[in-house]
Amino acid sequence: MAAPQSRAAGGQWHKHLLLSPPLAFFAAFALFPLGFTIYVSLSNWSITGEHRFIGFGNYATILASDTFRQSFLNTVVFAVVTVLLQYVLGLTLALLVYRSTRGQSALRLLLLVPMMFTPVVVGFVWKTLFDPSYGPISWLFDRVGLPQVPWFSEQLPAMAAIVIADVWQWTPFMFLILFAALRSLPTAPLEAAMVDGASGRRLLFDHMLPMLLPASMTAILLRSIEAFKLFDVVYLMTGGGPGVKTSTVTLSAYFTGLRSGDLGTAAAMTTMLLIVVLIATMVLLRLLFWAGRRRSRADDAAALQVERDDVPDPTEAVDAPVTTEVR
Amino acid sequence: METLTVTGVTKTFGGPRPAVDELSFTLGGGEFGVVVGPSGAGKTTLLNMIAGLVPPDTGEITLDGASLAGTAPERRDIAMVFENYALYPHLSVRRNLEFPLRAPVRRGTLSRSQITDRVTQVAETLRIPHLLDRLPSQLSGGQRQRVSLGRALVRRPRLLLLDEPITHLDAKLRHEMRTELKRIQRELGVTTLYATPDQSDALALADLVVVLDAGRAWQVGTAADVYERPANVTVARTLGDPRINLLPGRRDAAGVTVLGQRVDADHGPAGPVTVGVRPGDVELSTEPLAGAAAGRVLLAQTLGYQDVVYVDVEGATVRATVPAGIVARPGDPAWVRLPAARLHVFEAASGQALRHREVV
Repeated sequence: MAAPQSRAAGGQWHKHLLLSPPLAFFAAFALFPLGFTIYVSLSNWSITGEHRFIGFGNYATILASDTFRQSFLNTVVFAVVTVLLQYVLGLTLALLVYRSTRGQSALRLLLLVPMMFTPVVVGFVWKTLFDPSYGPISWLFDRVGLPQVPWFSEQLPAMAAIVIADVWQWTPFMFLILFAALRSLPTAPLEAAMVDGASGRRLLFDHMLPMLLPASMTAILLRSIEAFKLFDVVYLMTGGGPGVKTSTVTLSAYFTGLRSGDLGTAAAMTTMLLIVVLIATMVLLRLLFWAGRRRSRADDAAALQVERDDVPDPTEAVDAPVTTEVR
Repeated sequence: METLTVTGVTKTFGGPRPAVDELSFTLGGGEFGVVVGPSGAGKTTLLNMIAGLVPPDTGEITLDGASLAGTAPERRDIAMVFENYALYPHLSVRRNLEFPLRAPVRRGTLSRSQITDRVTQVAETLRIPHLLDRLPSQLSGGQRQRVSLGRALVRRPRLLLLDEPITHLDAKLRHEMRTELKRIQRELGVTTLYATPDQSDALALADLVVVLDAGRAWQVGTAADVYERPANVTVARTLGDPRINLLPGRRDAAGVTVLGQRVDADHGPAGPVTVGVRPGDVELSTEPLAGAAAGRVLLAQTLGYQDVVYVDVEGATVRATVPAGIVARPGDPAWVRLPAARLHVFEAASGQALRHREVV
């Protein structure tokens, strides 16, 4: 197994040559920006272009900054809350559509519509909907006798509004992946479970959800990576306000780098975010592999086991006598 | 010891013909029933209707005298073994076996230790105690089949449905499992309905055989009934290996003409008939024989204990089984005689039996 690989690496240099154009693109558009950002984060680079290497000074600054800490906390809260809500809602919708007998294709298409909007439109629409003076939601609250909510002037309502907009836009993504996974579940074990006495809730929790685990982990992983980079909806709806109460790391980096011109500090912020996303992704990937590996390791073991089982046992050369009467 | 009755059951899935058409039979308590038929005959649909996974369009299914209509699958107390085993992939063998006992329907009827006892007991009956902590993906086909059977037997169901449980096993294992199934069914005395495309399963296992093809039951009876006295051509064709010879013939007041020979087998109004004769009943000779039709050997296959010789007689192919070792090479001349007493005669148009082989 190892021999052909090492030969390929040592002798067949032209393979590397053929691979070099995509690798060059990767280096130019992924590795260089990453390296450059990290370098900038270690300098006092300002928008005027003057810079000097200052080590971890920017990191010390942002870790001591209340604004950054607030933005960082908000980012984590947004990511956790939106992804969880999207998962629960997406799963519920997927199950409902899966069980509906009519109009499935129409429902499927309708449910995907929010995902097709650009985030700018989503942010603007929801900002209008939540507007305290002329938004329909405030009007509705008024009509049914609920107290007026200061949607954009207090932290919790503002965060809730952002969460609602993001959940509205991205639940369809969860729905899509989970619905496809549901459709591809093997039906036989579910039928077997029904015959064995499971129904409704038990069928769902004992059988369908465990079988959906790999798809669930994948969907959550993809959404989490995106959720940590939340920017456009927040930018449009609250601009991070009131104050910096709903700011996120990306928003904070934007204001610091492109508005205030402090590129070094902004780069440090995005690098911090990158590290956090990396760690979160690694944890989720580990969970995903763990879910899948239980199965694949089992398959390897089974292959070995089958071979061992097939070795004829000389003591069983003579057929065992049949135990009871057989026709 | 529950009796299963199926009365006039029909199910259409929107195809040109019903998947199951006006099916009726009664399976006595503790009996082993076999539904035999080719794929697409409606076997799985029938089993699914009995299990409650598919509602019948018309007709009634009763178990122990009570109609099953309107009873959800989980409340029928019927166990089913699926063609592809349908084990729960995310649960260990032990949890798979425990599942039916822990299901909400039976909650509280068994204590934890009783469940453990039952699982141990069924695992021992099926010789799988060493597999209890594995996942289904760690098992070979034969082992999965046993677990699947164990899951069906662990709760001592009122009725056991087996949907082609051993079709996907290799030949040796299939024979072993067939014997095992019979033994276990006898031991437990559970009423069992077994669907299979393999006619030898039917003949080896069944107290009652239902020959199903294109959704219709062509004959219901004991293994001897359907093998010795097939009610029609379909049944004759389904049972027996190698297959029965079905040859065109004519009948008149004097007897039957088949392969250009007159055979004093059956009398009746003149008309075309289909003559059926089992390959084992065909007399084959490499020498000219009185009353025999001359033909040429097409092919000879050996089965070890006997050979199957295919002979071309006037354009018709006749299968004959002969003791192994009789040399027949393709192209050799051969003579074929059909003994009058061994012929089945069917009406050509309807395929209905007019006369059966005499049993010696």
